[in-house]
Amino acid sequence: MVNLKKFIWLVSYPKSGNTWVRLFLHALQNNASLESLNKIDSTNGIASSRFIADEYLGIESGELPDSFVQTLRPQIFTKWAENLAGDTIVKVHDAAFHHGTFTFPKEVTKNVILIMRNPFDMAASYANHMQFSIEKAVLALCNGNNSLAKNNKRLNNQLTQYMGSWSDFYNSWKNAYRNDLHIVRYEDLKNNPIEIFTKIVEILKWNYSHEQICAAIQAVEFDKLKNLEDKKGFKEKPTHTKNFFRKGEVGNWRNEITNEQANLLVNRHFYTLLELGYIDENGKILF
Amino acid sequence: MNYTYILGGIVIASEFEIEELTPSQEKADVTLKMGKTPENLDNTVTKKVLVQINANEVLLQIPDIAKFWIINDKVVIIEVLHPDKIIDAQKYILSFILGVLSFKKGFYPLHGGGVVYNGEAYLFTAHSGAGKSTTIAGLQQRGFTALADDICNLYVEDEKIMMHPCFPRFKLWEDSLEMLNLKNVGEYKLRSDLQKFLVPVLNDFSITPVPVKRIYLLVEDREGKTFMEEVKGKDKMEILRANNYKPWMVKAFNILKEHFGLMGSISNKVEIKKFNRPLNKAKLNEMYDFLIADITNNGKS
Repeated sequence: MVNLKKFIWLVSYPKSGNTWVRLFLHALQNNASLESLNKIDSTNGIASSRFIADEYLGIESGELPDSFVQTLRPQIFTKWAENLAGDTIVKVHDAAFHHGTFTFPKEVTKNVILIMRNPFDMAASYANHMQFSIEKAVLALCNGNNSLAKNNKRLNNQLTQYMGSWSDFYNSWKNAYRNDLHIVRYEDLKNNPIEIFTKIVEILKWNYSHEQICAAIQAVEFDKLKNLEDKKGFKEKPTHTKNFFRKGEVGNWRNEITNEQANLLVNRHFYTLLELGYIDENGKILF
Repeated sequence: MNYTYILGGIVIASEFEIEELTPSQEKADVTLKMGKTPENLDNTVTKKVLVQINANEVLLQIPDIAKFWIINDKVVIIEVLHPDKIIDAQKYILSFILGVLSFKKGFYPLHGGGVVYNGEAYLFTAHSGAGKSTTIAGLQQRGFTALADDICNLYVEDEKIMMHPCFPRFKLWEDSLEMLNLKNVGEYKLRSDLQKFLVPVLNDFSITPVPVKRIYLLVEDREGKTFMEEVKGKDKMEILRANNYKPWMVKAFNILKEHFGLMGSISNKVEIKKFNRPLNKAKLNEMYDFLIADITNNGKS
């Protein structure tokens, strides 16, 4: 039996630090050199890539109803794994399940690294990314049908990604992978970068020294990434958004969302927030 | 057979009417029939999620719609899986089945379409969703004759690169229909869950093979600039390699040598340019003016 366990899924809700981690891994593989944001090669792209789907379906996914394509995605990943020479890191924004289909089969999964960020800070960043209001962003984070790239008026270069609400997303991955899931909090990456990035390198079983890891962390400091984006652009930035990298701060939600919006997020996501240490048992926000 | 059509240089005899196609009186290369299809092929050389290929057969299975079995490049058997899905099934004849038959007949099937100017073809290629159809439909409205919208079958004849026109329909999204004033001209939805339509080409659709002058690769410029870049040398081959209808079919059909030979001829004889432009409706007229100037001034936009 051929071992197809090749995918390392780098999973997150949008604007939770996924790109930052990918850039760190890229810098690590390239002697801490990061000349352009557009050369990320530590990952083979995003799991929702329409190009990948078309390649392994055999016909263009745009010629099939989206509902069909979603049910075929486990088979697409299996075909993709059959064609991979070795371990491959892939960015994921989908929930682990869609309408009862387990989208990311265990047979092709080596590791899952789930990056979570508190939804209070995410709200303004997500609003900027999607080019809608913060109010709408907060509601989207609470919406069980929330999705990315769903568009029946244009063929997006990504398939629809059904994420569900922020809690649904977390719970789907937790239920799917339980003990095999590596959870990384964005806030810990910000506050203890050496410890947490080192943990990621250990999960990947990559062989890099402490010095190399520290150098790569320095190469992807937020201001440097912002500078690079200003100078050379970033192809992953949505067309109508001014910048991909915005503030990236922890706790800045106090300046960006209202108390009502924060309360709505606490009420909607109480147990997930508690489990991840973002609130205490009284619902007090800890970041 | 009740009907005979010509599609990208391939003459097709069919048991059933396909209203998108152009009638022909020539001898058929391929026959389309309704019938039973197998679940699997033996001795497959390529297996995709929906496609199986062996030395003599191709099987395409579209869940809940239809299965298509191509035997010895001569017969296509179609098994429609639900009586309501006959029209949906026919649309795959205009894409995947045409693509397979084009490779098998020795053509280079460029993913794209084109128009004619002064008796020569100017073609547009890019990935799906990049604006090929809108470009061609807009040029047709500005006086050019449309040749194809999705697949251009290229071949060599008398040392020239020629192309066979495809079928007289554009695939357009609703916003393009509105921009081009093509609503209510007989369009119908390509897929029930998409606002994308097959729109009849109302006039001036050529069915005569045309020599190819130039291929434009459509590229989105995210900084809002419109400009041309001439492509030279091995970059031409790379554009041709990446923009045939289905690059993976070249290996699956074991036609690497013939295909690369044809690509080399196209690369030597046809100009290729990258047409960088913003995907911005407000700049659409500017884009057409720029492009028309490049075509009519012989490459000097």
